[in-house]
Amino acid sequence: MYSNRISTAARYNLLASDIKKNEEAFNRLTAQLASGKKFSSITEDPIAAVNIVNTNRQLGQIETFNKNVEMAKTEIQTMDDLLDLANGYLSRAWDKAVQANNQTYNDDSLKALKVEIDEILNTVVDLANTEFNGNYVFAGANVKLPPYKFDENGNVIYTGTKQGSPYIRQYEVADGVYETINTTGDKVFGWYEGDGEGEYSGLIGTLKLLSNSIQGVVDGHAEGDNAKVQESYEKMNSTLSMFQKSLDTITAEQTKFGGVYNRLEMTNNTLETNTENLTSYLSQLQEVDIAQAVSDWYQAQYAYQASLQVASASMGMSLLNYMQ
Amino acid sequence: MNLLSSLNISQGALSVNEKAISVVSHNVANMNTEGYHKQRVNLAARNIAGQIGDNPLNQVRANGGVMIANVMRYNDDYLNNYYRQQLAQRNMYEQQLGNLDDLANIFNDLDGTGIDSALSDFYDALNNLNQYPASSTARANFIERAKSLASIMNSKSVELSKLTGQALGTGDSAEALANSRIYAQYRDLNNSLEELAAVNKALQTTQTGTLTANNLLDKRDLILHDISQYLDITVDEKQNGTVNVYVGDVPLVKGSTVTGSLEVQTAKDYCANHEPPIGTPDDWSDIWYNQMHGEAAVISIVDKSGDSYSVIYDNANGIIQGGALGGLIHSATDYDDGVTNAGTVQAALDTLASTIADVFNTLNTREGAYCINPNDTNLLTETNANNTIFQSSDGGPITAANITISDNLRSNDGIWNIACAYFENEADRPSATNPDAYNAVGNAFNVVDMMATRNAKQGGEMKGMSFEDFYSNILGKVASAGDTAKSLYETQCDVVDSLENQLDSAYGVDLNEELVDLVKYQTAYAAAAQVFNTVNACLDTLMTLGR
Repeated sequence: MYSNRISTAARYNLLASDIKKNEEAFNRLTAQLASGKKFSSITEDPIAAVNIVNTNRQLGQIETFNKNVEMAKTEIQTMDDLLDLANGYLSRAWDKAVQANNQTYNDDSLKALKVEIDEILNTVVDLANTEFNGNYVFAGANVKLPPYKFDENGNVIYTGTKQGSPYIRQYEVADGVYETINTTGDKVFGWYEGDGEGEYSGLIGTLKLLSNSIQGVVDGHAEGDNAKVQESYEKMNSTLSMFQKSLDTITAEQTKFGGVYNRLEMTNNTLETNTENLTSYLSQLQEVDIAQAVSDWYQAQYAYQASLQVASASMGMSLLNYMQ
Repeated sequence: MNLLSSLNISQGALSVNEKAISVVSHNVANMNTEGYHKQRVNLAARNIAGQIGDNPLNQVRANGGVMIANVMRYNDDYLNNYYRQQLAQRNMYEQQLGNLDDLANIFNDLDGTGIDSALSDFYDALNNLNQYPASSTARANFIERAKSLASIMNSKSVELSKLTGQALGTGDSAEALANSRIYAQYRDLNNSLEELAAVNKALQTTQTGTLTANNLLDKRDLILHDISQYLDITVDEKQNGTVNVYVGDVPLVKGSTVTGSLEVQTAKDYCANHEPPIGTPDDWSDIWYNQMHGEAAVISIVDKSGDSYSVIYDNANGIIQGGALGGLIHSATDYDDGVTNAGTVQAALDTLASTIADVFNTLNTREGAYCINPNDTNLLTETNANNTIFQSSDGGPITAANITISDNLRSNDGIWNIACAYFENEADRPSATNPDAYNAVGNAFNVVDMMATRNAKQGGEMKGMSFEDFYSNILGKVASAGDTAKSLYETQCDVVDSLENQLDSAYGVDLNEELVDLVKYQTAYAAAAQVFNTVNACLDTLMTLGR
């Protein structure tokens, strides 16, 4: 008869180690259920651990991009509102210019008109010097100084970043993708440094020129200098086409930023979709499937209980119980 | 006189069973003693010498009753040997796992702490700086983030050094070695070697004949198991039960002498004491990486028997591969390629720290980059070659341990020293002919380039990975090394457990068996007593004959 010899100590050890195994499984599942996490140490699932860290990082980045997009949208919206206002002033000044060009205004009316045009010019310069969120909107990168100022001769000098410079403000809206969020004042509003060719530009140049030509007509009348009056009316007439051009410039800039705004909206959507996908991926990676875990937990509990019962029943068994 | 011989036989039987019961009681008493091997009394019939010839009475006369042939010790030499090997292996894995587990705890970034999130925060601060390059808040925020990035690398580095220090010491400090795990282990091991030599000596004087000194053998095996926990040894058993113990080919114990005690010294001392010395103290860190492979402690085997003192093996690290000592020496700090441990991870973190510092310092100091004039914060001013972002706290090369933000960022006006602006075209840079550009404090093109380093692949030691990829790579390596070590250890534990179980079953005490024996011997004792009484009665009867 063959039978495996087993010593008393070995039997106890075996029982103890089996109980320990069941206890371990039970504890692991309990910890999973309690924390809701599949694992607590990176060594338990290295691949998932790296993926979790990477995904968390991506989610953080997306959150930043989202904030950037929202900020960029606000800034562009602000700029668009300002340009709408500028358009309104432009139209008003344009109407006045058409009326003045009829050459039917007397000197008093012309003087009044000049005051009004100067008022509009001041308003437009104020507009161009708008500060939003600590930055001057139309200053390009020179964000801390108002981009326009009047010099002692009444010229309107632009000190912001010059148009065409690549160095203006931009936000990152996706990995390595930057959207420009402002424009330079000289491009949309122009400037005025004198009556000569190339010394003025844009709405500000036009307004200033209009104001000067009105003054010229009034001065001509006063001096009886008909040639000056004629010259000034010609100058006044030339502003009409300049108004058209300035309007075109501003509208073109608005259209451009309208496009950026739409792109940002789309980016918003993409980022949201990405966030949803990544979040659900993350939860797949680290969160416990509760239904599965609960059923596993009960199973482990039964196994643990059974091993305890068997152990307690068999531990006391020996021949000793039957000897007198 | 047959009656008298019966009397003798039953008296002998009484005494033999008495002794057998005492062996049973020894077994029962030691049923839970660690390393105790069950003993069994083997009985033999006593034969009284003399010719038998054709006379059947002679045959009766030859029967001398019972005697104890020997007291056998349950044992399985093959299993013992195998068990010792597997035990050494398990303890090696245990040390590896211990080290890697500690390592994994340092890099447990699942909850969004640690270097990775510090890096993310750092880039977040850059993003903020891109939006508000002229804002003192955004600048201060960036400096704070850079500080926390540096300090978290410092603290991880400290934790890593603690890990290696705990295992093997620091490699150059005798005090650190004295507090390390290897120090405690090698002394334990030396004690065990001494104990084994003493048991060998006892065996030499005790086990002189054919019989075995069971309790001494138990003790011997127990010590051998103890030694196997630390080392992968070869055991050579002699006729008299003494054992010679070798590690590799080097004898540690021969008979009653310890021929090879272990000594441990710091790697630096080893290099200095070596004949001829290895390297010079000046190029210590170089030797440390290239000659010592980051092994901070060196074990030598020394013969101190009698009055002699001779070094048998000056660097035994190579022949000690298994057991706790082997695991400790080779898993804590080895810088060998492909190994993941505190040492290699430390080196990788150093690479990360120095590359980050390098990249950002280069950007902040490059030509065309401008910081803000602290005297008029609406104006730009050119950066300079000393205007770094990171520096080392001790003046040496930048490592994870010493990286810190530069002094020029710490000063009161420090926030303005971050060079946010960058003009690629020389013509666009601020100058006397282009004075307006001095006002371009909203220019954040240097920041944009700093942000671009997030995905930029870095060359050199970073092996074409971005900072974050490189970090993920470290983390992944630590995690999978920990995972592998865990499964190796668990498997090996199962092997050892099952062997322990087999050994226990082979030589442990089974209570039922003992109780059966007890009853068996008791019965035999009672029967022998009965025979004695009966013979006695017969003798009485004999005495009354003829009355």
